[in-house]
Amino acid sequence: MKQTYIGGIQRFSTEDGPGIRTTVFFKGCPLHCRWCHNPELLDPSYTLMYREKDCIRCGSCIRSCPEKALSFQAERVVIDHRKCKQCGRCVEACCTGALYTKSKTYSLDELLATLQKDADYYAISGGGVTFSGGEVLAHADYVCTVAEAVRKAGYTLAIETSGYGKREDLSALASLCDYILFDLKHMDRQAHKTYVGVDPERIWSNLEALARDERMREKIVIRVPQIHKINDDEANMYALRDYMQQLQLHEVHLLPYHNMGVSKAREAGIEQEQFVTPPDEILERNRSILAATGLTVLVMGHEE
Amino acid sequence: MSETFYQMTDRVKQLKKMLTDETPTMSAERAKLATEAIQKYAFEPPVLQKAYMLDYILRNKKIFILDGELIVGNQADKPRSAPVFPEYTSEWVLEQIDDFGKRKSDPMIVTDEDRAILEEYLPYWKDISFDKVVERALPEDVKHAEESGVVTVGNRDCGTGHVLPDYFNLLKRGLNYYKEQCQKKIAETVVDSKEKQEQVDFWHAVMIDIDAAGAYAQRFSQLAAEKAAAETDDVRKQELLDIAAACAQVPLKPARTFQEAVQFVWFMHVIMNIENNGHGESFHRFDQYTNDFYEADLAAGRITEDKAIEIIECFFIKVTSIMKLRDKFYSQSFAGYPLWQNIIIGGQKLEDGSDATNPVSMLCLKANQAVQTSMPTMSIQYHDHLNQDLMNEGLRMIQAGMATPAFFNNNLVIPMLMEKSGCTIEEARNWGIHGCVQPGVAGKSDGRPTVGYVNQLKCVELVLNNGVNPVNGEQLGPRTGKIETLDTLEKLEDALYKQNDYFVDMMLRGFNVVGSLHASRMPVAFTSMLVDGCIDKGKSLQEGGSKYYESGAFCVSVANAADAIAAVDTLVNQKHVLDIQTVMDALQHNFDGAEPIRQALLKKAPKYGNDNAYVDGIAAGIVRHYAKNLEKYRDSRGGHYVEVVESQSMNVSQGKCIMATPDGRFAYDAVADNCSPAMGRDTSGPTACINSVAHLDQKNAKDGCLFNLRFDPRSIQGKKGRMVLDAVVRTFFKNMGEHIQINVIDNKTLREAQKHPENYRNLLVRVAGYLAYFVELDSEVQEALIARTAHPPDF
Repeated sequence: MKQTYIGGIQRFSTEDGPGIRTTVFFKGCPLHCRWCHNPELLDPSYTLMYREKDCIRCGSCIRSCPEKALSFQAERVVIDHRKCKQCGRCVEACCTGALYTKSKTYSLDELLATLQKDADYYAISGGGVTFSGGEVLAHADYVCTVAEAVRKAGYTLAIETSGYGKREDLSALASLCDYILFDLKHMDRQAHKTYVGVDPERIWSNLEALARDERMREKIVIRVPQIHKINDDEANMYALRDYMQQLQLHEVHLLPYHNMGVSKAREAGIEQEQFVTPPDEILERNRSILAATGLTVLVMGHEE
Repeated sequence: MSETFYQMTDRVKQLKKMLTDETPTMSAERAKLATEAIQKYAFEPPVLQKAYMLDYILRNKKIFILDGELIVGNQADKPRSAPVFPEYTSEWVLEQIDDFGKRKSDPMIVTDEDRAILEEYLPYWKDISFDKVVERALPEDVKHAEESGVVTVGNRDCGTGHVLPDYFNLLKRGLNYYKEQCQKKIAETVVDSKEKQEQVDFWHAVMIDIDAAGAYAQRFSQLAAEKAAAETDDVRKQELLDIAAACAQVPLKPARTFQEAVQFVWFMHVIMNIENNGHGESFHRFDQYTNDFYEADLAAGRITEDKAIEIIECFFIKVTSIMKLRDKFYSQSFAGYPLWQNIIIGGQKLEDGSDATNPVSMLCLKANQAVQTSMPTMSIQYHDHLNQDLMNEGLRMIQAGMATPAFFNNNLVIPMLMEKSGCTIEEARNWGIHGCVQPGVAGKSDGRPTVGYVNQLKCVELVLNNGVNPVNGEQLGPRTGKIETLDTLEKLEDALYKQNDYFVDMMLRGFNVVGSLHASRMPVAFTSMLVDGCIDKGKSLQEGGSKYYESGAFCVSVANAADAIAAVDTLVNQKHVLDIQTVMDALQHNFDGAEPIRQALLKKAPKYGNDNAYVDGIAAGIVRHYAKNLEKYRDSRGGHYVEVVESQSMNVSQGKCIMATPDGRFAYDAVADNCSPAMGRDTSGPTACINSVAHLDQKNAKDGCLFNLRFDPRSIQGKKGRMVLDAVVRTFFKNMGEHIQINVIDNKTLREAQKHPENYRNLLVRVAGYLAYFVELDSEVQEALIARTAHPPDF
């Protein structure tokens, strides 16, 4: 099995499914959403990050690099990613943690030991484990192996997916989990291509196939990022509502854009453009549009 | 916001405004009356001297009833004013008299009139006040070590406090019952020894105090009647007549109504705070001992729920009006005018352990959320079958940023208390808090969590320097070996334990002197009478009169000590990334020019608070060793010494005696508070932090572990947020944590409050086991609060 990098494990995760959860972020994603809030997870391989405000310019990292991939330019450390062989010595040498990585490969036991730490919280809060990314379907074999182990350990499992992958992978994984947080970025084909980088056809047909099975359908929660003037317009909401009705889906979460992705992208050496968070009244309007036909709607960060 | 809370009535609003608008002052009245009394009764033995003194004060002090008050009885001659207790302290009061009004932390205005009285009466006590007696009696080596900050000996300039009065029986019997008991005892006793005579003296003292309390209440009854006669508003007139009737009944006779029960409790409490200036006097299970009165009133149509809440609110305002004079050092250490007056609700029934939540439990929470005074501290006794409505209501208040109630864990406390006191399970179920987190048997325990502390990080500093204090080059602790020879974790820990044992011994030798002097010179009969055992034995609390007693010794800066040991062991001993001489040089120069070394110590070694078994194990080892070592000793009453992991806001001053340390902390910076991780070092989220704290193996700290957790309010909003908080508390308690208090205030709010204090006068924060108005805190304490990691961290 190919080595799969995990790009971070977040404990006390309360936004990715019910209760208190631990979310495992798998690296690598076939989509390129321009507002991606985990841009450091796009690349499936090891990602070296640099947080400039923590750097004390001691130069240890530059001295430690056998490939001379690091240099000082304009008072900051610059990484030449073409030269970097991902040996991790600079991360070891960096005393402040300004150069860091969350990319790590785990043995199954190691991963389970980490997940086990919050097992009491899962049991008491009705939480569990969530697989996110990146895109879980990009590593379906490995993710299914881990999913089986998580089930065996007795934790509930949620996956977060864009649905962009092989149908049989999705269906295998779906049957292993309790909650499927399924992203729908845009209901307009052209806009989807423009902002997400792929044609949505495959996503839609995967979702439709999944929703045909009643047992799978019950697990699905639709998640929609809300980016002002990109996908928060009424037309998109009506289209989404109709589509969900047609598939007999019942719950949708709106995730208002936040710009944390921009700084994370910068740390990963990627340029990312800024978008705008929808004003509260638009989020409220969209909530009413969706709720009007009886859908359960949650606007994240605006509960109660 | 769909969240609604119970609101104050106009009367209560007005009373609260009077309280918060009042700038705290100092009151000279008690100093004058105490001096006059002692000159009259100097020939009596201490227990009678003090009884006559209390009698003289209660009969002669100024009394008042404020507009709208339903519960009456004042501590000093003006509201929110700290009386002076010259028999405990005198000289420093005069020395610091110009500073009280000007000091940053907990200022207190001294009027010219009060100043003149103090200048006239205090000099009499200059060399004979209790603090001076202790100072002369303490062993020289103890006093010397104290100067370094490694150890302290407490309870030297105030009463012993920390009383859990037997309100269950007091309210039903009335004080006259206890007077009869004393009469009977005296009649039965044939005096044939010094000990018997001392018992008789004690019973006489109790009888004098009971009469004094009755006279004090009678004065209020008269004043209320006079005011009623002059009152034109019919509603208020009736209220004043009710007050007059209540004060004619209690405390000498049993309470008949809810209002009389609360009035009774208040009389006992305020008189204790006039008799002596101990703190930590507890109301413990208020809901349990007042509920019968409430339900009877309700059944008879004498009261409504709203009226009962209003009475409780009036009571809370009175509780917040109690003041204590502290010197410059303690005013910063215990910032926010705290007195650790606790109410704990919920919990279990004595007979079968089933849930004890009753209607008054919820009324207490409603009063608490409406009036939002800094005292009393409100807590919930959690157990596995606690009423979920009560739990949810408490969590809802936390979500709204009220920082109250706190939660305590019966699953841990009950067995721990049985082991600590040797009490029955029924007694243990009937527990209350005296102090911050110290559990005791309600009505029967006299705890004394005032022993002092041993500063763990200072001990680590001594380990690094083979017992030499680097601040002045003196050999302060034992020689535990040159640091380069301590090349394993075991050796480092062993050296730390040796330093610890040396200073614990010193602390307890010192405290036994203090405790003995309290017994021989400062027995307080009124307060003693309120606790089961004292009348039976004919002994004051100070002499071991109560049924159960123990003394709590503090273990502080555990997190920093564990982090520092882990850093040396990891980076020097195991990984060889740093050599010890480089580290020592960096520490000596406060990391000047050695920032990479500091960063490595900070970031490259595990830190307590991140669910790391290795470093958490070092912390737990310190707590365990400390507890085990204490077992060898007994206090001056023959009671056990038990451990408390708690610092209050003294963590600021506890850091001021320590130079740079291998946990990456700069010289003189604050150490970690209580059993929390060092500030900003817990970066793995709240569940990890909570697990670390639970892994301290808290059962070893039989006088409690104080844990503060702070959430960004946004991270726990709504129904889901409430469920998350619920799970956080339950999981911590499943893993045997004792206590958790949760703040949900963000740093932005606190910064705003610093900039515009006038807009945030209502902002309550939990500093450590107590609530304080944030804007009243010293800026250094404010900064310490802000620096505590907010959860969750950036991801």
